[in-house]
Amino acid sequence: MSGDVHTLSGAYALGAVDDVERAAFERHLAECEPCRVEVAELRETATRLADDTDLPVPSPGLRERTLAQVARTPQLRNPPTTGSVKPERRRWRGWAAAAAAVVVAASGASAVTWSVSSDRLGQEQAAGEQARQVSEVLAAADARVYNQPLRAGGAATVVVSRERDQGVVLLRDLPQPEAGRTYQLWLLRDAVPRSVGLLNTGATGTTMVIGPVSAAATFGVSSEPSGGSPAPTRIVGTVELG
Amino acid sequence: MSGDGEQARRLRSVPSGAAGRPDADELLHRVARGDEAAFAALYDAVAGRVLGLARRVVRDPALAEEVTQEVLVEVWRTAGRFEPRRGSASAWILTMTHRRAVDRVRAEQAHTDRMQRAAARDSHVSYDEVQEEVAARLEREQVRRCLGRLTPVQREAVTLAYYGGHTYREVAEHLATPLPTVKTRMRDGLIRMRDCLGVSLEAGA
Ligand SMILES: [Zn+2]
Repeated sequence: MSGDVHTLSGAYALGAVDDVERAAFERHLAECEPCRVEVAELRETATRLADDTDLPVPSPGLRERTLAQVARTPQLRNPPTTGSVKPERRRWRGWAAAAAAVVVAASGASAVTWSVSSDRLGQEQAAGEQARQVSEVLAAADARVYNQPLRAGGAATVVVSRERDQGVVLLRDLPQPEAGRTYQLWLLRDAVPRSVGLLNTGATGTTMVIGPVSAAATFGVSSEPSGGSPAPTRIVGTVELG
Repeated sequence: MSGDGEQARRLRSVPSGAAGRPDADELLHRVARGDEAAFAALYDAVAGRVLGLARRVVRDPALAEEVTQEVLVEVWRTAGRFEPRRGSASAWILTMTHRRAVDRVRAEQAHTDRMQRAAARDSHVSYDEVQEEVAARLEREQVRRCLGRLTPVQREAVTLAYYGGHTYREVAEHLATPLPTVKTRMRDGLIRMRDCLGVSLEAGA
């Protein structure tokens, strides 16, 4: 093959070839190991472009139709090329793996609680109202996401919309607080702390709407005596916002 | 807290899953053995992204649902052909989605500039999906940041191909640029994206 053929890997990974070229390039792939590796990586990369799309909620009907069609569709039985070999686990290094871990941690063993700062929302507002607030912050055009492990363990994700003057905090997998203590959340500006929330006794995670965020430069989590403190006494982690 | 009147209120607990959820690779492996329950779980894990990509390419919600159904039934049918060696299950499924969506678009011969049309925003997020929405938002932001590191001509070539469903020949024609140049821009652009995203095929657990 000419040197030129290898350079089709990008267009191929993007699906930007016609059927004839695809077939020709796949023949080339069968005999070119460097291209196989490159295509696998570039295809994985191209797939990430799919992440930059809105995530629509599929209609319930679509799920039903798909499952029903699957129930009456026979599967292709392939000659077992790899026999009973267990599929090799692949690890996608770096950020992608971290992102997956976020989801697993959020839905995994540690119970995640959803809380809101009730002075801003009123005691009796429906759950839908908080969900709306959270999704509005997440959907804000200027929303920035800060994601960081905390010194004491666990991790914090803070989504900030300066335009809305609000943020959403997700905390997960914090260490179990000592007896009589609880976690308190802060926004700091010029080293001046302002309390923006308090976790329930015993809680090790939360999703919370915070605000106003105004010019806050740092988000912090501290461990405090139950009931909270006027200023943080034992900071367990911070996230720089900006 | 009492000091400034704020009080955290527990509204909902996510039930503990003993060992977290199985990932798409594991599910697909079970689907290949005819496990319909695993298929349903796989559907729940990937249908949103499949539909999102299909919509972005075909620009029609009803058509995008059709594509989604076709792709997921095809995933069921051909799960035994998935080769973990060649990439992740989600890349396999989304590559299939992209191919199918692009086929639809090319079949229509709708040569209006699809890249220019704004995607229909669907920002509805249910109460249960916030955690995943944040993770998705993180991914999106990183993809955007990495796309931003491409040269403008690389970015143009990559997005016209991927989101617009154009072949590199069409892109070359559209930009009045030689074919090898466009091929190179696509490859170099993706390589730069790959390095920015930290994508690397790596064996082992
Ligand atoms: Zn090659």
